[in-house]
Amino acid sequence: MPKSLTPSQWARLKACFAAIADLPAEHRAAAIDDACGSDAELRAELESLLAIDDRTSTIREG
Amino acid sequence: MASEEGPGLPVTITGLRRRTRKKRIPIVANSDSVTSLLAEWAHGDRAALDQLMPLIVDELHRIAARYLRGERGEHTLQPTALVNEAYMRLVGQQRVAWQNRAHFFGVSAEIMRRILVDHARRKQADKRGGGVATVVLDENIDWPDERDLSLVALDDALVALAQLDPQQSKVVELRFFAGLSVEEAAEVLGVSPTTIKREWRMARAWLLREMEKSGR
Repeated sequence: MPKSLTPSQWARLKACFAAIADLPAEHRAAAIDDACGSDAELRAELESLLAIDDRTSTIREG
Repeated sequence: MASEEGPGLPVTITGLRRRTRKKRIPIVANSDSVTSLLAEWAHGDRAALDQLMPLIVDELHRIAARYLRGERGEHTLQPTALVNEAYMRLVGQQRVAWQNRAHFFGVSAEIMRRILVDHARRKQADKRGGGVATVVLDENIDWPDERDLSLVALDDALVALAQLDPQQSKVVELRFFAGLSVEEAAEVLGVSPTTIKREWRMARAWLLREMEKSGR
């Protein structure tokens, strides 16, 4: 696995994902900024997971 | 239990037959001992699990062989149906407390994962085998169904996920390899269904991304 996250980064990532995944699109950017601050690695992880979740979540609601 | 028939969880797989020719254990004769082993394990006797594992492995292989019998080329194996049937046969007539069922499904998920992935790896290693075992993930368990996933790639990603988050990895194992519902997985892990849903959703995104990264 390429540069894995530390346990504390992972815990933050989980919390952020859970909090942000269901937010309406217009509130997301601000929430991501708030959650990640200057942590670019966390932001990149979070954004890529959210993108995949968006792409696949239509199945869940169907 | 999740739907026995339903869309289930089709896994394209071949050749489980070979391993099942080994000594068979008469299942009816074992029903009592399995039940009491489950009970002993539920009461904290770890040694009971060591005795239980071969019985369950044998039964899963036996049932898998029957599901595959008479087919040529690609086979379709339904893990949920397979594990259900193994459970019914192993503990059938006995009244078993839910906690024992939960333990049973926990063990079965691990075993199913091992059977399916080992087989897929052998198949992949065999150049003449022609084709890699793939899985189609159905919407009941909330994976995108637009494409097949390589079972081996999924297993690799799951090993990596277990390093980061053992619980998330376990949730995937239970739901994917044993076909458990959200509620059943919650029972096995002793957490709330909400937690299972949350873990599953993130694990799904993480695993798909890792598999895309590795180009599989």
